[in-house]
Amino acid sequence: MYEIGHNLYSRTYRALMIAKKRTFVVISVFIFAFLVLIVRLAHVMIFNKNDGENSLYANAPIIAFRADIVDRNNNIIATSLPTVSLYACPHEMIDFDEAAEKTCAVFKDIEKEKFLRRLKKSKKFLWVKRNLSPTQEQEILNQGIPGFHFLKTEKRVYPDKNLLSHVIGGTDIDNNGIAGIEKVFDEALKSSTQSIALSIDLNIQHAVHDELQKAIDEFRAKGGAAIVMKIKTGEIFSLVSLPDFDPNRNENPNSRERFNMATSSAIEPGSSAKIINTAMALETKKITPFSQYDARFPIKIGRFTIHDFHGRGTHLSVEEILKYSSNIGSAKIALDVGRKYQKEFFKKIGLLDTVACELVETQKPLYPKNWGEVNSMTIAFGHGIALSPLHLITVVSGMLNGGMKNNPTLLKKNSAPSGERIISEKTAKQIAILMRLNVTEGANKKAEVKGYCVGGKSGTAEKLNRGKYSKTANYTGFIGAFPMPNPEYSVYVVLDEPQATKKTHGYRTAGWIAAPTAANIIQRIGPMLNVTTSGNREPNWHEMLRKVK
Amino acid sequence: MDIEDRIYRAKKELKIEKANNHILRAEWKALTTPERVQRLAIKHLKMKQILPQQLREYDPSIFHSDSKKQNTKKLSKIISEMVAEASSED
Repeated sequence: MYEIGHNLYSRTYRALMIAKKRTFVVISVFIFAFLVLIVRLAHVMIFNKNDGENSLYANAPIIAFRADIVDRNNNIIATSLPTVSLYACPHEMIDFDEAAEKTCAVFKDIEKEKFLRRLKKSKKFLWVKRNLSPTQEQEILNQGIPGFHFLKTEKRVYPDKNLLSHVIGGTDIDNNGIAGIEKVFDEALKSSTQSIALSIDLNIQHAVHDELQKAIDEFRAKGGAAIVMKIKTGEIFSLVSLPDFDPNRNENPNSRERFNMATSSAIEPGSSAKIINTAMALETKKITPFSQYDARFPIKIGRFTIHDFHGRGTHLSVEEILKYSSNIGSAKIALDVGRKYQKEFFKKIGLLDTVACELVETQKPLYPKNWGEVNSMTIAFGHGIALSPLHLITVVSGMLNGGMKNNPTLLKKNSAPSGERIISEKTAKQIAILMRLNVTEGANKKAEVKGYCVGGKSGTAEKLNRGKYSKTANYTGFIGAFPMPNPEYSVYVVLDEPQATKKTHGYRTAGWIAAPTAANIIQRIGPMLNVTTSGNREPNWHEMLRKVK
Repeated sequence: MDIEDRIYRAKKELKIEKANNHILRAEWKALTTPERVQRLAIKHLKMKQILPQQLREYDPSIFHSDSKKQNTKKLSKIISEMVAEASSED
């Protein structure tokens, strides 16, 4: 009995002990769980001061905005604005159909069927819409769709839209630079908040853009490019290429509008190259502006014949060859100088190397591998060598700054170029006067602007079409500078396939099309750049040319 | 409220104001693009393009006279000349 009773007692006792242990375990688990909760609550309520945050907005990492890009006067060109983006987590959603319907009610551009299919396909994450407007954000909040969340993002904004498309380039949807300045300075813009100041002047850029667009409309051209450069520093005040695009829209990265004609095209300079040819001749020290060449008869070499468009049928001086744009005379100069010297000179002034400002969109100059006699003569008047507009204006500005090599830049700077000398000071002075004489007495009278002594030279080149020169399509360009004889700014304008109008008397050559366009630009930007006029006083250029030392 | 809390709050307010300032700057820029200013100026103002002749270099030798009256006279003469020149363009 006792045995049984003891046994019974000990069994109850053991059961009690087990129950006690279990209770203890359960209680400690609960205490631990509540402690965790209390700690977490304290963390959220007391230590974390993130008050007022809506739970719809995920705790986004703190975004360091992409730095601004500004023009030389500190006007914003590109900036970043905070936006929100909407994403869906399909595994948290209850009713796909209802969600899709509500979404389409807010975003008119989302198709319901397509969106439903995308929702069903993705498991955990799906972008519904990037960069919402504040109104759209509020509407989505009002709809209250479960499983939809906002993420704080930034959007790159270009308030000037098309104005600087090719300079700026643009960014993709994830704010990585994909072209232009945005690409070149991608790292710097991402890593620092310091804004980048460009050499561009927004007001000048707008004036040039406006005038170039007017010219393209007037002459029904396919496109065009224009550059304005400060001669002393090589700073690019304006760089326009048309047609252009709106960098606010990230679309069509390979369309024709994206092509930067000002820096990436290879265009034969045509007669504009006669400036370079003349400088080369004067640099030999044996030829002066008054040396005579026989330009009476066309030159025949093999199957080529070189003629003049407005032949004078006389002997011409070097000055007149430039003024009347004589191909025969230019070719004779090149023959006289010799092709070895010609190539050396071209190398020295930087015509054979790629000119690069900061942009990645550049073009290597195209020139013959075998620099033969025929090449030498055609290159003298700008055929058989092709350069980007930026390249040509860089070389010519280098000649006009007193003869120092010019380094074009899109960044604001104050220092003068520290490059090596490309031509002597004497030649540089003579070239400035000769360019002025070409406008006052030569073929480019249309480039004249009342009040400024504009100098320059036009050039027309037939477009290359599958290796053959086209008879109907051409490039017309004008390279100019003002005010002579100590120019401050250079301007280059080129139009792609302009058509003749009544006003040009049926001509579609550069003197009738590009020269007046350049004049319009200079007349408009000159006062903005504070270039003062010489009044009506005009020096005697011939006398000045004779007296250059 | 302890001092650290006040610093914290001030910093936070500063951050918000800076962000607001940034947005306002962008908005101001969007309202003053050269394209927009030109469009509005043509629509509402009777303004003309500045011509090169309207800018003259400052030449101190013109104003050599000590008499203020004479200097003013000369200046107004130059200005009226420039105005006449500019209006003869049209």
